[in-house]
Amino acid sequence: MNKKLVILSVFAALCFTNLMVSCSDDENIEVGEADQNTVDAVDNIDEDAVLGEAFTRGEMLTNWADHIIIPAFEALADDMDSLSLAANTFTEIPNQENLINLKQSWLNAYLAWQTVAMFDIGMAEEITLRNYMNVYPLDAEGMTTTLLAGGYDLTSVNRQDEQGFPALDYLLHGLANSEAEIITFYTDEFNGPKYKIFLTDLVERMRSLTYMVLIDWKERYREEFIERDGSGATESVNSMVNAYIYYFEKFLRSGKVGIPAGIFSNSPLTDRVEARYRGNVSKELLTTALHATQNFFNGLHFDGGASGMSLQGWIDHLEETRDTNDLDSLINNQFALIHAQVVNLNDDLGVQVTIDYRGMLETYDLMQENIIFMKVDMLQLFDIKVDYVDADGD
Amino acid sequence: MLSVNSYFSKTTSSAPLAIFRIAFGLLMFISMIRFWALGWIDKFYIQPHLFFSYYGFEWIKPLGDLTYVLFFICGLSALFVALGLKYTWAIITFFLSFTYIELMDKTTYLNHYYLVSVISFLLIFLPAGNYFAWDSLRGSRKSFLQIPKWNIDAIKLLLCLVYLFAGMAKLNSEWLLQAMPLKIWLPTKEDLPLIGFLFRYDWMIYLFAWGGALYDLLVPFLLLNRRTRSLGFIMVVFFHLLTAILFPIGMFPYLMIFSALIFFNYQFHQKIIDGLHQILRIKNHKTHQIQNVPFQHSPISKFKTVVLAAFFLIQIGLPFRYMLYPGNLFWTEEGYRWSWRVMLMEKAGNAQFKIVDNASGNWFYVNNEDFLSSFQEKQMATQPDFILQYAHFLYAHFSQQEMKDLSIFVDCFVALNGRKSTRYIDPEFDLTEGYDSFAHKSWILPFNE
Repeated sequence: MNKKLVILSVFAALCFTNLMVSCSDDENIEVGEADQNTVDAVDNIDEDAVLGEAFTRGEMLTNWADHIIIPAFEALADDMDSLSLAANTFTEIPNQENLINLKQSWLNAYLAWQTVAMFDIGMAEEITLRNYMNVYPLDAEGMTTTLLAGGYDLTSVNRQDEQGFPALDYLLHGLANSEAEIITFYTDEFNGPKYKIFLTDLVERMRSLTYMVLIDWKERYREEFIERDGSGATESVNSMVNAYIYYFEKFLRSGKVGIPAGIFSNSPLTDRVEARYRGNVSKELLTTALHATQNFFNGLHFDGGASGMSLQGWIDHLEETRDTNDLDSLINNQFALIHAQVVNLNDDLGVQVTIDYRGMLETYDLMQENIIFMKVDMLQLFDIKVDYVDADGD
Repeated sequence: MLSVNSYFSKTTSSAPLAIFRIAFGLLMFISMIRFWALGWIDKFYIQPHLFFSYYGFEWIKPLGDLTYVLFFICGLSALFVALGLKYTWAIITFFLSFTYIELMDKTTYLNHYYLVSVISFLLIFLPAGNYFAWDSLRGSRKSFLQIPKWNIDAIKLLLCLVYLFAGMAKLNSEWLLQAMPLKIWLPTKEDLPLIGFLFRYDWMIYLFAWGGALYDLLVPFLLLNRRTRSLGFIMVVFFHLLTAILFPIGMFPYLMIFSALIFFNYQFHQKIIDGLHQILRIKNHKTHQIQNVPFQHSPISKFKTVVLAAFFLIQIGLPFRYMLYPGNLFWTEEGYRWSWRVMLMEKAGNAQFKIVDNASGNWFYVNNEDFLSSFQEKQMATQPDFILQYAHFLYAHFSQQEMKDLSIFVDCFVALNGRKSTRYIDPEFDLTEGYDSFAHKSWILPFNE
């Protein structure tokens, strides 16, 4: 009798787990909401003993989406509109004044790009926005061949290093040494139209990709992003934090600083500097990206007015009950040290690399220290797995 | 001596061992299908550029596309074990293929994989294919209704050792006094339905920590004692299903739950077998034909006894080897594996390798992503033997190029159980000068509380 009962309980329990696990995985929003009610009810019973009412993932996600990510993409979209306008004006009348305007629009948009580059999530991740907007070094030779041949397919993976901001950089600054000479490329009787068309095509593609992501955020993804407020590996918080740290490590630390400084290659690589044809803005691009990552960490709204829940607040919340202290200040102090170091660099990081690559190396090392704070200490505190690996543990 | 002899001559029904064989074989068969279906063969054993070997087993490597064949053989042999088809060959094949798979890359080391290897090794020496097995039902293999009692006790002993060592490993200040690493893991589960809210209470985390340790230490005794067995088994089911919900631990909970059935008396198992007879429409007369042949002692079975005695001595000794090493076990991980230390650590690290060309003084950093999968990089950054092996791989890789005289250094930081990260490896130590051995690795920096 007893034994039958036991067997019955095994199978009942097995079914129960399956149910639980499938609910906890995803989809079942109703259960999630019901659970939320339970939590609220508990809060009312004994407020003091309950941890975690000051922080909810949903609140953080809402702050990120509404006050940081969507406004940043809106700003980029605005700059893309201006860039498009300036490009059209220039291709209609290719003169110096219009070239200068176009260059300024390009720089504005490039700076705006630095504030969204880390948000490789949702539609941006799906269409690999980053790979079509800012792959450098540019394959200038390949791009020129493509441009002259016409009939190109910019959506091709093989064309990723022939478009985006680096391609515009080359088309606006790198074709020749003076503005007058550059303009002749567009006024050339035979090839001029091809340059004009290519320039317009590039800008329109960047603009349409930006809008694709922005519209998706507004009309669809925002809701999903905020709704997926669980702690699982595929939920929004984990994905966003991983994307954020990955960006900081691979694109900020390595891409903008480490690789040009020759840290991975034994010798400096000046051609790997961002905006290398323009030259004197690479530091500004780096600084903008650094500020954007720090602001995201602190939950500062894109308009700079106020701030909401973010990684800094979450650390604060968790540290109330832990032994570790002030990880958020450690990270912010480290950001300050990085900024203080970057200020000393030449406006053109290509020049900096040539005259004294150690300045870049020191910047890299300071950034690496922040990687350790974020990737090792912060992720452990959050219990977020780096590059979540789908494998069993024990 | 007499009592020892009389113990070893005691016999018992072979039904529990048959059920154990079937359950183990089926679970392993499902495990292999699951592993394959999740795409893990490709991800773990085909895609990576290098594989981390266990010391002394460097010759065991994945076999390229033939790795699939290996998994196929392993899965098929598990099914043969379950069916009792060519049992001896099947279990030997399963043990060898499964263990080979586990030795291919220590990145995927799990205590529960080790448990599977250990159980299947033990099963090689037990007459698990001699009752309610394909071959014995068809008469091509002898059937034993009775087998020596120690055959079943051996499995019980192994399971008890696993629980007891797991429980003893939890008796440390991190687990009991800090509730670490549960304090890191459980609060993130607060969005789970029904039970999630519990993890918002600090005392609940402590309850889980103490409850887990107590469970591991008590459950063997509850299962061994006839009167508390049902309670023990309910605890087994409850505990393992709870861990299945809370942590990504794959098939392990089910393995433990079904293994624990071995503690029940033979009538229970016989009922299952009778039931299976009916469901599978195996004609009853065949079972009745089984002769009550007692398991015979022979020189071979004497040899088996010696092997198993050595096996259990190793099982009991291995978890204590950590005492031979200086320093904090969690920090150095010297003597950590093969000891049923489960869920004891949350460890994260970051390792940046610097390659110095001694001829020119030039140096550069390594982009780990170029050589390691993210899983490998994660495991590498917190374990000294991985770091050393990786450094030697890098040496072999880069010294093929112009540079011949290389030194390799690592900037490695590790955070353990919620402490702030600190430097892990002596940054001045040239890793190309280090060689793996069972000796203490002096270049691991001491652990600071």
